[in-house]
Amino acid sequence: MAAGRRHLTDEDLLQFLDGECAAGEAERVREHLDACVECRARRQDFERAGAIFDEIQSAVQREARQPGLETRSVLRERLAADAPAPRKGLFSWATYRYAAVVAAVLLLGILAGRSRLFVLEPHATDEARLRPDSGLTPGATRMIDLNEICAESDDDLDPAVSSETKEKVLQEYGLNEKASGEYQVDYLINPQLGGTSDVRNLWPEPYRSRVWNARAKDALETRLHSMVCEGQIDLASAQREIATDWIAAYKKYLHRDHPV
Amino acid sequence: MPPLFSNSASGLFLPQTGTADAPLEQEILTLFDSMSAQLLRYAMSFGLTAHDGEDIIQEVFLALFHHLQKGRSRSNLRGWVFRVTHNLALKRRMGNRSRANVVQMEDFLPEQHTANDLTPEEEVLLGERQARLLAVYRVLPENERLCLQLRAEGLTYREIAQVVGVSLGTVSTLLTRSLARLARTEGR
Repeated sequence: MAAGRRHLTDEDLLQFLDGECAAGEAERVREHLDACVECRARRQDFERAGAIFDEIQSAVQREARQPGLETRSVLRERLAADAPAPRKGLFSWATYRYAAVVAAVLLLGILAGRSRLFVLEPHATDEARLRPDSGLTPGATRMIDLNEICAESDDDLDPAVSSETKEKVLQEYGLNEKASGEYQVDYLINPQLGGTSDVRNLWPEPYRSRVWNARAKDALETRLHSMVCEGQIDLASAQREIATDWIAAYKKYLHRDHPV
Repeated sequence: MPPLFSNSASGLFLPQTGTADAPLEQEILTLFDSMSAQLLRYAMSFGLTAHDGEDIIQEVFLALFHHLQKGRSRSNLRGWVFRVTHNLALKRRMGNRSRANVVQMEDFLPEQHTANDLTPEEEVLLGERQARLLAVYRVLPENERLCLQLRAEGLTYREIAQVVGVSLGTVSTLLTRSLARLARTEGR
């Protein structure tokens, strides 16, 4: 094969030496090296440079500064401060009592023929709530540095919302306490894109939507975050698009009409 | 023959102790003990002081703690911590520059590192040949220098690509170019 006779590129050589060749490629390089004096000489150059560089590195590393003990002890304190308090048993008596009360209420409901407890609300309402009301939830952002949001890997897609905030958001949307279990209070613009936990950036997202649900929105958030960090879209546009119509943004950026 | 090319093929570095009751804090501190010197070196290669570098690695391990606490992926954590170090170091450097009202461009030009820049300790430590190579290394474009350093720390090309934020092909090109330059210096 002609390619076999062509001289190896520097990249071929280095990848071979570093064990980074593609599966079938290493064999081709080895065969060529066996046959070609010129490429063998170049390989030696690379090996020598690599060896000397490694020597320098290890000499420099021996002398390099180790992190101070204080850094470690401060880290230890900060970890302890951030660690969650020890949890009580998952099923405490209070949980059992609560579960028993809920079960009793449901049972009574069924006995009374009030099976509407299990009937979903009209779909029209749900459809409307797939997107937040832009008057109530225009979105709120903070000043951020791209490095700040790109340094952290995707965390915190779901807000930790206090019960008062949740109640306030539900009230704004005219939802009562009974409905609270059916909605997740979610960020409109997620913190990875500079969104805040301001009430103007929180909206009730229906849990039971099978298609346009929180999982689909999480996928969009992750996608936009990586696009922003890779410079494929600017942050302001990403914020605007997710805040204006996140479903349209999903279709546009995940190139799908429906979530998988 | 000494190991010339030290990339490990495995992206795993977490010691799997298997003790279910080992708290996450302990695991983070163990990782800190095994990796902090490497990461500090990497942070300082952005021209930051040791003080800034130590601040950064503290933030890195705190971020790792939150990452694992939330049950996020444990695959390729080595690449992950280097990437976070890289991003925080860039951010710190940018912050330092904007804080300094007068930007002194010569601080950021590679010319500042010449062979004469070797510290007295380095001069004692390194032979003439090594000193010459170190001087060449220091004037390499930053991306080439960082790739070379990460390679020496044992990261795979794929991990280096993720840390530096370039494609796999670019890593290969940058490494080849810089090592070829070192080889030419050596051949003189």
